[in-house]
Amino acid sequence: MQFMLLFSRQGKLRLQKWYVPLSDKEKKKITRELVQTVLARKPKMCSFLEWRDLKVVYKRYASLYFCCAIENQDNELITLEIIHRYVELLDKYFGSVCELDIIFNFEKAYFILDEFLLGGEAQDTSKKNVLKAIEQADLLQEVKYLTDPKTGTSLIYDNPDISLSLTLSLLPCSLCYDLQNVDFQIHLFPGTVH
Amino acid sequence: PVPSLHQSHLLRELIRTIRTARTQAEEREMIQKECAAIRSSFREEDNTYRCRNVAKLLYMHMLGYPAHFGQLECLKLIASQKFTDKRIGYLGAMLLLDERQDVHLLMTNCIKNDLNHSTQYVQGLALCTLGCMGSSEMCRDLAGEVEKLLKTSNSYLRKKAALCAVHVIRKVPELMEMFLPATKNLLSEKNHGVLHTSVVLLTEMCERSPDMLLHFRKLVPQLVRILKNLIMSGYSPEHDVSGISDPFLQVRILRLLRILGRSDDDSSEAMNDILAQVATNTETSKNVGNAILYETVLTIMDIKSESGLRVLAINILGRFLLNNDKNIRYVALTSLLKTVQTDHNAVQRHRSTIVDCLKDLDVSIKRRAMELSFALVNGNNIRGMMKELLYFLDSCDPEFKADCASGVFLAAEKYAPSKRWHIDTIMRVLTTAGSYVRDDSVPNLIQLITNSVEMHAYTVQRLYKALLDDISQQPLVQVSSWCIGEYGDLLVSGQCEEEEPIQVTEDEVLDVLEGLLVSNLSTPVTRGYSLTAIMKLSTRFSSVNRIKKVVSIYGSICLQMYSHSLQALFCRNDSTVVLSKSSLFYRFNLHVLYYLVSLLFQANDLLDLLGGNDVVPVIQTTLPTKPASAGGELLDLLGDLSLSSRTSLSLSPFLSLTHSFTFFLSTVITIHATNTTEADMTEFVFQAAVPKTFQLQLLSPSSNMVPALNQGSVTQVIRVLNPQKQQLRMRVKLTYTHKGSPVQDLAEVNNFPPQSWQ
Repeated sequence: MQFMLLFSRQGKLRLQKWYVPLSDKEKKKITRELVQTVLARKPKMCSFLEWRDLKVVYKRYASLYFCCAIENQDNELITLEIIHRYVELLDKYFGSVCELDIIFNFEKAYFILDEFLLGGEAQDTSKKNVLKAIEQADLLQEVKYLTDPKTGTSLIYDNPDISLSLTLSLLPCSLCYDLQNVDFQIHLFPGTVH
Repeated sequence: PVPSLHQSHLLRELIRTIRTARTQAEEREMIQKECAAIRSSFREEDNTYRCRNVAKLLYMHMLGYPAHFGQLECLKLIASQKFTDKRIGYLGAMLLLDERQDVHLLMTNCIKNDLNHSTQYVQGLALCTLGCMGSSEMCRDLAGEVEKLLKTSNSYLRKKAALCAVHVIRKVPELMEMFLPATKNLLSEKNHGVLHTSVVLLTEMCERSPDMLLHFRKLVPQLVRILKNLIMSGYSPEHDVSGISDPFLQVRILRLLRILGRSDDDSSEAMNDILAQVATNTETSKNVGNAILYETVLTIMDIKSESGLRVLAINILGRFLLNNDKNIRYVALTSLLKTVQTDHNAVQRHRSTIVDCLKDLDVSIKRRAMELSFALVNGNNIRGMMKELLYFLDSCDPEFKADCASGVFLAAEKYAPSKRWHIDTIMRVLTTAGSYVRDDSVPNLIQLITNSVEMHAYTVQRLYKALLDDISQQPLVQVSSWCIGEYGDLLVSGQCEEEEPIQVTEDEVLDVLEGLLVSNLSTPVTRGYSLTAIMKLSTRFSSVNRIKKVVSIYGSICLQMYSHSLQALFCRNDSTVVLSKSSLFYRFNLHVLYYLVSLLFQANDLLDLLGGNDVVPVIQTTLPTKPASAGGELLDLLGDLSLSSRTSLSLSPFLSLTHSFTFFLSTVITIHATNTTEADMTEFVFQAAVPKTFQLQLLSPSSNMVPALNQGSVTQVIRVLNPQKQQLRMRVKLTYTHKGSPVQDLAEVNNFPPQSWQ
């Protein structure tokens, strides 16, 4: 895959992931042209079109167009499945995802995409694994420091049991970037404080 | 009023606020204000708000606003020890930095550290970023780290390292070798993520290096086994998609098998059974199953598969064509197009389904169906196929018509069952899609008609009738004009055998052709065709006077249009032809001019052509050739003339009359003025006077400045009408300014060569 674009029916860009090096100017030009081309398509047309020397695969989910540019040797039909898998991941994560979720939480949409695809290819074909990784990474955001500033030792252990207890002791809270200087108490085992 | 945006505002609040903007201007104002606040925050080196500010910047960047001043901030975030910072920092790097900027190299060290971080999610971020946008230098520096991670037992990291390695290899192919040891037991993994990414890595390596390909061929049995397990194994909830176990992995394995089996008999044989199994057992009710079948078909067609398997593959494509899902139909047509040459007979069996796809609503499907249909036309099915294709031509979108028309002509030429059928088919195309026919088809069609001798009468009659209906389609009009010019005698004598001959008089025919000359719908090329047709009829028809009148009126108009072109042609000093400014016009008209001139100069006596002598000159019906070389041919032609067309009269040291030739009743003279003095001659005007019985026409000069020291010249064309064929005399007056003072020069020219006015 060379790039993926998400845009609304009015042509507003909601996400852009580029797997090939291009200048900002070129990206803007490609985006503008491709968005125009796809929006001009009628509902009865198929999901594939040839554009420049690439194959473009697109699918509309509610008010959002998911559009991928793939190379000639790539399989168009499985690309549709890749798009669908990404939508499923978003849906599971946000709980019945809609365009507004992606607008207001665009960075999370990127995080999920980056956990699913790497360099344009699928990293993991298991929905469960991708979602679990995202969940764990989100939890990691709640921790103040990854390593002890004085000793440099890691404060996080990649032990699934410990992560589990982390979940239990923390209240679920939405990720906001303004909670500063609040010390979290991480209970690794019931009763002890690290 | 624009609400003030304090930097402590949350990212979501900013998004909400910006979305309330009612106009682009309002949005821009908000953004500018926020950017200013963010900039000053960056300047203050504020660690607390850096993450949030970069996130805000990324949002604004997505809206299309510049965000380059955040690039360094991303680097600072990446270096932070907070996961939140790293996450946003790496995201920012992937969105704002690209490998063209030196800034991105500063990331290298951070990424190196993070690749060795104790937290796998941090390592993951580093691998992802490197694998997405790492430059060649970065890849070179960090390849070792990636290779290390490729050997780890942590499947979370291993799968990412594999894809990162793919990117490294793409950027720096020489590094491929170093990943070879790590690939040793990649396929023994149970983890599907690692398996999938490993197969991608192996595919990349095999595609890039024939040595690698040879080396990895031994993996075929293992790949076959994995694929078999996927198909045979029961339901696995983790990897199931609509009843199929890990279709993504299946597709990638099939693709790798394709590369390994290509041009290798043994490997192809080893995968034969599993391919047949997948082809017959895969559920086809959903897209996911069809995706696997599609990849299977591609593999079967590309490796050295036995014929039974190939037929199986083509039949799958045939079934795809009947699928309700247009996407499936689309890939079927694309694949069939690739295979129609090699498996022609197998594809022929699906011909009727393919032809049905001509009626599809999707433009891409229609186009492919059309291409495929033409590829399938042969001597046996020509009549039926042509019927469908002509019907398609009638109703298809304009974007198809030109290609379809060309395709029909080609197919007709190859497989026409009879000459009559052939002519009828051409007629059909010209009358229904005549304006879309390519320009170069016209000479080809003319050639074709010429060669079908027994059909001449029929052809000219049908084309004449077509002209009566519609003169807007230029290719039709051109071919028809040409035909009438050639076979007009057959037309008026009513000699048609194929159908009821029509009654038409010479005057009626000339009415039609003259109508073309004056019509607004006719292009200059078309006018040329009709004029030459009229001229040709002077030897076939008896109403010569009428023709004479028409030709003299329109002939001189043509000449006026061409005079500048002629000027350019004749006034050249070297072997390159100088084109006039309107070269397109020039090109299109030149071939007509060529025809006109060739026609006229074939005759020994110009005026006898129209005078109705006993000796009727044979008019060679040469076809108009491509305009591109017409210039050279024209001059060669003129070089062969018995009429001396090149004369040179020196009136004065700097003025000469050159290149005159007679055209009908007029003489065209080109004036060529040069200046050997040291000063330019400005405001140069040439005037001429002739005796009363003559008429003179001066066309505009090339300029009014004759440069000093022979650095250039002024050319001017004059036309002299000499109906009484009297001896040509001319009085010439030159006025110009030289070295500041006005000069006037008078001269009389009496020594024009007799050929120029007789």
